[in-house]
Amino acid sequence: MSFVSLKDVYKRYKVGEVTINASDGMTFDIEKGELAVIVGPSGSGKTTVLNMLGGMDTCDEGVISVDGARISGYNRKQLTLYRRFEIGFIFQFYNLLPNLTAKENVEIAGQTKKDYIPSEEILEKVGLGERINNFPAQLSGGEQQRVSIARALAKKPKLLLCDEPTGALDYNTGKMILKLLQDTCRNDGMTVILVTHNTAITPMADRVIKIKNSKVDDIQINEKPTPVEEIEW
Amino acid sequence: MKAFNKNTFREISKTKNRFFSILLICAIGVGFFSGVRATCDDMKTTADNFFDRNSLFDLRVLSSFGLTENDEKALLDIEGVDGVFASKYTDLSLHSGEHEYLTRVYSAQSGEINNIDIVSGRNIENEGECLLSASFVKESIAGIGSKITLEDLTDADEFPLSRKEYTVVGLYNTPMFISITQKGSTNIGDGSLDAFMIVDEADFTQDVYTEIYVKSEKLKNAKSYSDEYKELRDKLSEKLEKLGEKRAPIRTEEVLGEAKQELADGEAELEEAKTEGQKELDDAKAELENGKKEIEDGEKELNDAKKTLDDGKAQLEDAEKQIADAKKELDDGKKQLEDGKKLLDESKKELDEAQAEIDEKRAQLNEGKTALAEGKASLDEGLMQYNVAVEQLDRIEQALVYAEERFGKEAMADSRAQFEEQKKTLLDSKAQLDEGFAEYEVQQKALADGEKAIAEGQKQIDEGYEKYNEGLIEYNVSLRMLEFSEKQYNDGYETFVKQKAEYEKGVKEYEDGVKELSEAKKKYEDGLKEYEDGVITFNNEIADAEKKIADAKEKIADAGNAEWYIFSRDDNVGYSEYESNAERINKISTIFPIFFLLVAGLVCLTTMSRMVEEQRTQIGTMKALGYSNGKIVMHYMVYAVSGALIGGIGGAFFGCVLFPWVIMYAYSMMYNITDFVFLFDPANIILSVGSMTLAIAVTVYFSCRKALEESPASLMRPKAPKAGKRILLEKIPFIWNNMNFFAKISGRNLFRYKRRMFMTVVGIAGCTALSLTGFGLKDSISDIVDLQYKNIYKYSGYLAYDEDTDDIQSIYDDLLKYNPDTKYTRALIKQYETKFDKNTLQCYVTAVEDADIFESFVDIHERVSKEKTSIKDGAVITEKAAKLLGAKVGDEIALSLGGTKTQSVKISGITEQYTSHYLYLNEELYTEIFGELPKYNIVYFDNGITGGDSEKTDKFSEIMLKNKNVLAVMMNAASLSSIKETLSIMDLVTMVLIVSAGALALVVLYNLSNVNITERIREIATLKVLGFYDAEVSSYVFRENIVLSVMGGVVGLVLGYFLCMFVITTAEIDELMFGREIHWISYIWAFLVTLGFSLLVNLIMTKTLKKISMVESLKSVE
Repeated sequence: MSFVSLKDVYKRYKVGEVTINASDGMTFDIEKGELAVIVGPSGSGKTTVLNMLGGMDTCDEGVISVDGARISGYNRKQLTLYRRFEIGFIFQFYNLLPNLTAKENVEIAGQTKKDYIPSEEILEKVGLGERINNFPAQLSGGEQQRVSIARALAKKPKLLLCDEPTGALDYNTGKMILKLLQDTCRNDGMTVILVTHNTAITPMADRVIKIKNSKVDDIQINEKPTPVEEIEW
Repeated sequence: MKAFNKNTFREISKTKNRFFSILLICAIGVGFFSGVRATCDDMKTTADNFFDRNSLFDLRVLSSFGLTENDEKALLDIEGVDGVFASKYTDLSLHSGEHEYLTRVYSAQSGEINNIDIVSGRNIENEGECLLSASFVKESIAGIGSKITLEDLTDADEFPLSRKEYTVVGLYNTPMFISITQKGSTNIGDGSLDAFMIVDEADFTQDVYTEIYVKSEKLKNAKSYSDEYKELRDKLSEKLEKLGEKRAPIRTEEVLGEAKQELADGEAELEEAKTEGQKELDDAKAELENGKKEIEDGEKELNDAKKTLDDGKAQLEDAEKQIADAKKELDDGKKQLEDGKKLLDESKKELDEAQAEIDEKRAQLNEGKTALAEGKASLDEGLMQYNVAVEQLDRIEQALVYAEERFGKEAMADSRAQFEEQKKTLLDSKAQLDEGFAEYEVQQKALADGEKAIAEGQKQIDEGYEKYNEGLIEYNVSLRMLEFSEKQYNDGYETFVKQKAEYEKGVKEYEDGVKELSEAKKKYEDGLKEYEDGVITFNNEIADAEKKIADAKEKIADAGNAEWYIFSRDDNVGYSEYESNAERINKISTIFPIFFLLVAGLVCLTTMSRMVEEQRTQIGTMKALGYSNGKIVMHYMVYAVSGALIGGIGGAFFGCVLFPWVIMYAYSMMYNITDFVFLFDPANIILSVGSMTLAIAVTVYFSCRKALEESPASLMRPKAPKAGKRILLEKIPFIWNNMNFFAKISGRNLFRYKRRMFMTVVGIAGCTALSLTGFGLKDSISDIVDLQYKNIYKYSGYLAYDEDTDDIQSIYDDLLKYNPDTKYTRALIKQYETKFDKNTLQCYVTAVEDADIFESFVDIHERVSKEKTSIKDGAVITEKAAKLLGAKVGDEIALSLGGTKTQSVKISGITEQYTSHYLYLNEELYTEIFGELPKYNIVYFDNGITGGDSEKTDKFSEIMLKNKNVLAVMMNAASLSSIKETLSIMDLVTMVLIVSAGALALVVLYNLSNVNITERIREIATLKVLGFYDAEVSSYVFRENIVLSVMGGVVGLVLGYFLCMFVITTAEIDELMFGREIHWISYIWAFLVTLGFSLLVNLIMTKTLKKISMVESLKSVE
């Protein structure tokens, strides 16, 4: 069984009389250590998938399993523990706690787990060793996203989930972030799933999952992913 | 419906929580504000309705000489007077069982004015029945069917009623006396009425009316206590006064005319009696004077006689002495004469004897002469012999010397010795011869002497004879003279005896004179005494008569001219007190509800600012779509204002019933006013709802303004979350480094949103302050009793006694009979009207006999400084009284009993006191002020009974009330419990406060927490995504809430102290002073209430937090 596996996953939202299928029987697998990119247009349901994978949302039907655990059947408490110990999340808008310094923002995640990487170390690793005592507002977008990544990595997650991590960043910064993610995957063997609407970056992935109208449209395996530096968009 | 409006309404349904919290907070704010504000009017209207329903009089006319039916008619003729009712009353003492009360007895009441309401039993039907005021019966035992006895406490001759015993047949309420506790003053007893009763008018002995009540339709239509009413009433009162000016002189003439005539007659009579009596007295006096003079003359004469007699006596005594002397002289003369004779005889004899002797001696001498001559002859012979012998011897010697020369001396020794011997013998005889010659010479001489002596003796004898003969002649002459003297003496003696008899007669005469004189004197003194008695009697009689006339004059003068007094309802204790109570609530309604309103407004401001901030994008979109600023503001206006309006109006209606009901219910325990009225005064509702709505509209405007100034583009960009900042605390590494990670975060968060922090602290502080006020009010009220009866009053009770008794000792004896260690002192208590500046106050003037004991009974000290003051140093007034009068130490206040006479007292001390008003004086000061010794009427005592030990109290009361001079016994323990009961009313009001404050606290905290959460929903969602447990998320948020609650609580306690002090001083009734201290436990309670609500809100919020969807929350920014 694959490291991450979705099978016939449905997610429906009811808005008044209308039922919207945010996930209409999606099925795909991702192997351990892969960098997977889920790509699709706005509203295609890619974020919903990521949320379900991250334990932030539940599916109405189907099976989601991560590292052999069937998280689709988790209750609230189990989901919390799942998020706490196994998932790292990276958002488009970083979602750093504005009142905490970079170091503290990393620490707050570390606090949840016994076995975590010291914040200085991880921040050093993402290239922010100099600015660990700055508040998010004092950091640029790229720097903030690095903090966000450091936060996600600090607790040594099984799965790193990134939701449009470059969406709010300029081209070069975005590239640097993607490079960081790719490096993390390659060097640390981290399984990274990245959601984006930008098809241009798909070559960097080991696996590209295209989504359209809440369904998996296509899955591509890149035998030889392109390093981020070489990708242009 | 336009899309824009649709948007607004959808907004409301979407954010029900927020809308509801605005609505609720407005409801509470407005409800409290309008409710408390409405209370004053509701109370007054309820009272007005009650008065109208029971036809309470509008004006009351009293006259110093009573009122007649003619007066009644005249009053009815006045325009505006629609009803009159004349009534009689008198103040008497009511005995029921062992108890005694002061009661005002009225003649039966009419149905038109002052409608009485018989609450139980029936009206008077037969003789000897009476009705008692219902409020009185609540507190005593004179129920229906009981018999009561009335007693007159004044010194009037005539009992004002035709009977003294009545049976209670019914209990009634009257609109005239709505106060259950205060029944007004009277001039008998201790001055404060306990009850009212009604008896048949025919029972009154007086035929004039005491008072006439006047009622006006116009006034009935005006609302009691309103300015309109007061104005109309004053106009009518003026008319009545004018009538009084006309009617009073007529009545004066009726009553005083006769009295004046009588007085004049009396005066004339007195004058006549005076002159007559005086004349009689003068005559007697003249007569006495004469007598006195005669006595004096007699006395003088007697004294002269006495002097003469004394002189005579002296003369007699002299004469007697002279006679005795003469007699003695005579006798002496005789004796001398005789002695002389004897001497003469003797000397003759002696002379004769001496002659004889001389003769003999002459003979002897002659003999001696012869003998001597013989002796001479023998001597001459002897000398011749001797001369021969010497010649012989000289021859022998010659021979011998020859012989010796021849023969040697030895051979001639013998012959020598013989010769020597013969020579010696010859020498001896020669010595004898010389001796004989010497003796002869001596004797020769002696004989010559003897001869001479004899010659002398003879001469002497001759002279003696001559003397003798002379003496004899002298003797005979003396004898003749003596005989003459004897005759003279005898004559003198005879004369003396005669004089003596005459003198004795004079003495007797004198003694008779003295006796006569003393008798005359005694007679004179009797006469004088009689005269003096007569003068005294006369003076007394005249003085009595004059006093009677003066009294009568004074009475007439005092009575002066009849005058009408017009009283309004304001002079009725309960009526005016009720008004001031209503006004007091009104006062509370100014600050207190505004506090509510402010807190509510602040919270709404926070909520709306947050809302506007949240909807930046929407505002930007609107703006971009071309909506005007006004239109956009409208959206939020409609949202907030509709909440405020719905909540406000709902709250107003609810509050206008709830708060007046609670307060009036509380007051109904003090006033007999029934059927509460709840007014929904549009002005009040519009004001309260309007001010709330306006406040909210303003907050909405200010919240929007900032956002609207920005360009649509910037609005549509998400506003960067507020930047984090290091806080001051971080600069103190010692503390900061020791804080745990989450504490650090909370610390930083607290200071990140300063405005929210401020709002929360203010909101919570407000709630804490309100509940502290509630608790503090409760403390200060319940404290009164303990402060008063434990810290200040330290005696057991007091008893009232008949002030006219002279047997106070029996009361003391009875006191000591119960407990020999009882301490006691007398005092005079009388209710006076005190005035200072423009303030008037009913105050008990208490004059104390023994200041030391009294001060051990009542702890007299200044409240704040605890400094003792002493009534020995001057007048001491109780604190609340001083405050109400506005008087300070050193000020002079005026005392009066309602008349024109006033006395002035200088305040020298102010003492802590919680119930009633007192002015303490020592005996000396009272005497100085009032010009007479205090007429004591009560005895304070301390006999060891402290708590409500009813067994001891009963035993004691029984002993005391057996003493007929004791009128009543009041134990402090009993007063204490009755005050406690009265004060329990206020518990309800404080409960309302606390509950309202609590409700506000809940809503404020809920709202603020809500704002807090929505504001930080992304943070919370992020934490959730990071896998924080629910408990961790909650504590992340609520840690701040709790810190804010504690901060707010502390600030609120400080604020609450001041609010509470303000409320206490405005809310307390005049009769009482509330405690000024809030117990520490109340601070704790107030704090805990706030914290408790804070926790409750947290609990509610935990659910909300749980429900926060990570996906939704994090998505919103996109």
